[in-house]
Amino acid sequence: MKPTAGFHLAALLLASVSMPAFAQQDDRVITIVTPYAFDNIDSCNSSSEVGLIVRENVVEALTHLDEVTGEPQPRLATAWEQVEPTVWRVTLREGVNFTDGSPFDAASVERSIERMFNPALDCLNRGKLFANIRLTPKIVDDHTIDISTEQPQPLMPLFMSFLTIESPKTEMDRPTSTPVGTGPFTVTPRGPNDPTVLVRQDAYWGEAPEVSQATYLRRDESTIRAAMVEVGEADIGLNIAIQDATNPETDIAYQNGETTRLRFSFAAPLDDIRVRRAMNMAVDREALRDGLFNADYVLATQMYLPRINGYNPDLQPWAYDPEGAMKLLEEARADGVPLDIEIPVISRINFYPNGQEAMEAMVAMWQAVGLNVRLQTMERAQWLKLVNKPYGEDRPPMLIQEQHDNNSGDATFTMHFRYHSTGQQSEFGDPELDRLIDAADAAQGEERTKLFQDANAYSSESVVPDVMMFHMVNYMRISPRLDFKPDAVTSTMMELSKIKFSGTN
Amino acid sequence: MSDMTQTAPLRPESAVAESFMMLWRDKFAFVSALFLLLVTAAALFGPALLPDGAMTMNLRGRNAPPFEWERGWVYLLGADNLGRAVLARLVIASRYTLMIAVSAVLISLVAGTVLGLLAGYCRGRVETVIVRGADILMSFPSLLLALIVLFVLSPSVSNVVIVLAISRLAVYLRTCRAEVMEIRERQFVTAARALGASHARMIFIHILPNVIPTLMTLATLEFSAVMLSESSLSFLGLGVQAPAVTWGLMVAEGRGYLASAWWLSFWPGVAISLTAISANLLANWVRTATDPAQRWRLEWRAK
Amino acid sequence: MGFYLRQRTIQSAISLLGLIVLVFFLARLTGNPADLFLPADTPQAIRDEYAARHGFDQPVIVQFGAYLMDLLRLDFGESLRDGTPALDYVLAAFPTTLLLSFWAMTISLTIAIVTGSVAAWHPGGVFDRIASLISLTGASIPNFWIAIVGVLVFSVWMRVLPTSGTGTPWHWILPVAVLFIRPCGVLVQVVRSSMLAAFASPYVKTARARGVRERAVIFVHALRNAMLPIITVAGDQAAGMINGAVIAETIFGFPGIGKLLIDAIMFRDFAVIQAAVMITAIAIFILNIGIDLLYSMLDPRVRHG
Repeated sequence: MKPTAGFHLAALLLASVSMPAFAQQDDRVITIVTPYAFDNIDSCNSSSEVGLIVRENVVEALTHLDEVTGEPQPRLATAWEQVEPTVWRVTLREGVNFTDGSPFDAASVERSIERMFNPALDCLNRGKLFANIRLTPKIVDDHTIDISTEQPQPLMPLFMSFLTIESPKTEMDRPTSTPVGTGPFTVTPRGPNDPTVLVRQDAYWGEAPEVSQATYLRRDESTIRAAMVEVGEADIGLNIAIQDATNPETDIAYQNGETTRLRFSFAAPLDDIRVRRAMNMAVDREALRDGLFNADYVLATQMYLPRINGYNPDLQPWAYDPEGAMKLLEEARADGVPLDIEIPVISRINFYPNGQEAMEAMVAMWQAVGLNVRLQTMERAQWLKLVNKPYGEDRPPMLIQEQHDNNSGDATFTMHFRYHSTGQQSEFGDPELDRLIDAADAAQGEERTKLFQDANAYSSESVVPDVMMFHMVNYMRISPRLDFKPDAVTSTMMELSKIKFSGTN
Repeated sequence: MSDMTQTAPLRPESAVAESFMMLWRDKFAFVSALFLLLVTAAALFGPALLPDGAMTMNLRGRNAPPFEWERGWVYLLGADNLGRAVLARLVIASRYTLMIAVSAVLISLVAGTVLGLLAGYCRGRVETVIVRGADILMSFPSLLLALIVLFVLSPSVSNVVIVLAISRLAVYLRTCRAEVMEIRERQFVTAARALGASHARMIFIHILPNVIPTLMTLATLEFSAVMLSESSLSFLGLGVQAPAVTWGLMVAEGRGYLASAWWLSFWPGVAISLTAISANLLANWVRTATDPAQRWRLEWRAK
Repeated sequence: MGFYLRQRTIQSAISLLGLIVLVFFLARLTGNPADLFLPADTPQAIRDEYAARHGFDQPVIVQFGAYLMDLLRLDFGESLRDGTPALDYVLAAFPTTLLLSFWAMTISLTIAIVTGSVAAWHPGGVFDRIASLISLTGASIPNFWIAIVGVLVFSVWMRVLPTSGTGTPWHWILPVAVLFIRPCGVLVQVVRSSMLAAFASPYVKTARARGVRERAVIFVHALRNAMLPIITVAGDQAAGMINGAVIAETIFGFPGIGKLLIDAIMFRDFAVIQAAVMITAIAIFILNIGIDLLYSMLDPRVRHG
């Protein structure tokens, strides 16, 4: 036994020496602690939380959406123009190099687009953003490229903010754990299970960031993340739970782009609009917000935030009216609506902070007006089977807990998918709503905005397909030594160049 | 010491009295027994005794601190994150907690004992198959098992029982088999076999009674192990799901509030610990009371 | 002994094969990884494409055949999440968990043997009562609770230990503490009761009668006799370490096999689940063989068959 003990002792000592020392004395080195695994930080996954690390830090996109207005701004593209209805001509920035030395040019843009559409590569962006839009690049000259689509694509400058360009040396068929881009930081090669470390590169074409190195650690428990910033082991803690965000000096709330709702399946008794209305009226959203969430949460009237094109500012949240709800239900019952059928409320394990509590509370509110509802909790994969078409036959009446993020800037991502009769997560078909959405999809400019707004108004007044909840909020705990404010896009993109150090302006 | 083990046959009522006196002698065991009785009573009758409204959610009174008398006795231990009385939740949860722990322990005890007896008694191919099966069970991750059960079966409390029973079964099986193998070789068993006793007689008269005390001790130890595993499953989101509630789930749900409202996870944790400790102390007492060499420690007229 | 080892190895290999079959098929009952890897709003065509790319469109039995063939070449497959060989993940994580478990078991055994023996020396005495209560309490507190309270007390409030992560030996204190408390509590009970039995055995009585010093009686004669059940239970606790490791590694951000396994399970990263289960199982089988060998060293009557 003795040699074994000695071996382990040696191994422990070795482990303690070889681990990277996080508490380096360089005061420009920061540590960010998140709940995410970041298994696969290939830039093709940048529309997920991977974007926190890679977007604009490592790989840059052609355009950059303004944090306030949502308008596309130049980044790797300096100008863009719709030369034909289906063709956009993009002028590229000159004098930019990838961190591996390759030059940034039209060929690298073409290759990045083709890599994203390469069916042999697992790529989240392809499925999430470009599932129905095939981009075809055509090189005009070294720094000009034409991007064409099958249908006219007015939103191209917006899409270009997701087109991250990686080095032409990136493998076409395999995801990489060390993406190489034109950004101000490079990814340090790492072993399996090691944290991701970004190091500042000196040859960056733009302004040099203050942060010289950033380490992304993973801790699953919010309590631990909050504690790490409090004791100085980390500088930024992401997704701090509401109950841990107790220090207004360091704990900052920001809208994370997510909106929550419960979706109705349209089976009896939920096929009756009075029942759907009554269920909306029976929920005391303000009590939910103040009790379980926080004043920073906003009562939602539609599935995306006001900064998204197509948001209808005139819609009002449902007023809490349990008596009115009971009256509606009585009417429905008198007309033979089978209100005795049990309605499951499907919640998902570990969905969002206090999500389970919110479901329990809403179930109690519905029971209070005499509805026969029952909470049913599901694991993620089970829940996914339930939310996506094709639905099983005899789909029962139910309410399904959902959360949706539209960080793209336009309503189409949301509207078609959830409210159009052909949408993959739509529970109903309403000809008028279909007509409005189709018309909006084909329109541009103000007309497009107006049509989406009309669709939203029509849906919430005449269809009532859901119980809207909140525009959600995240909390971030930020060390006092940093000068940083999260903004509307921080949940998907956290530019290290925006992080300054206190007292160094 | 030998004369003490030869106690005269007692009438039933005096045997009960004798047991009670022996229990009274061991104050720890006595308190434990009282506590377990209390928990059982709470599980059986508690929910009916709770005042109206104790389980109603009250979002404006969430996380009310404990020991505030003016809110009424059910709020003595504070209120949870939905404003429900923690004490009332503990009582409701005791029913599921005990049900899960007792049935999981019983199922794995019975199944493990039967398989262990078979393996130890039959030897040969039967034994090989059972022992290999136990090896597989021991190394099959219980988390994966929990996920499979959660996914394949519709959500219910019995899922957790199945997971816990299967994942703890091998412990009984191995212990039982080891005991049987040892007892088989004892003189009285070999003698009985030589005299042509039937298999049933061998197992039920000669072997089983000698195996049971060890297994019972193991079962009480496992009782706390099962409650803790159930809590760990809840921590990972794979255990009991709301609206059902157990102490383990309460600890797991309350852990996020340890820094701000400690009582959410503290009281259910105390309930688990006290129940587990009581079960163990009582088991120690039973072991002492049934062991002729130790019994004198608990008897009045010992000196 | 050589024969015995060979036979045990063959038996373990059979069990391992059974385990692989079970894990492979049962894990595939828990849903399609394409649903979990891809965002909820991915169109069906892209889901199908993903499934085809990773072979999930094949019948499960065909998938299993291909997996076995790869396994014969020691190819455990690749992680679905980033294409890294599953074995690389497991081998990188394994030493961390092994070290954690090693320290937790060593400390529990040491504390348990000393405490349990002294408690058994005067059963019912003050020390026995206190040791029993403390060890029982330790054995009945949820470990994640201990972990979080530990961080709040020692890292946030007292600021004497780091909250989490690896790096210095200080980082190991809380995770090891979380892992050792329960096995230690159980082992104290086991040591106490087997020592009680050992003190009553003729063997120890003879030693006493021969005038052997009391300390030697406890730690040499009685302990040697009491060792068999202690080793059995310690072996079970060590084999069950993986479950505690999941919790400790999750909370403290330790890159060990427990965390790897639970992540792989949650993402249905089948290749990593299978590799992690297999490597853990091999470790447990080796542990069991070691325990059997210890038995025969301590008690020559135990025959191997």
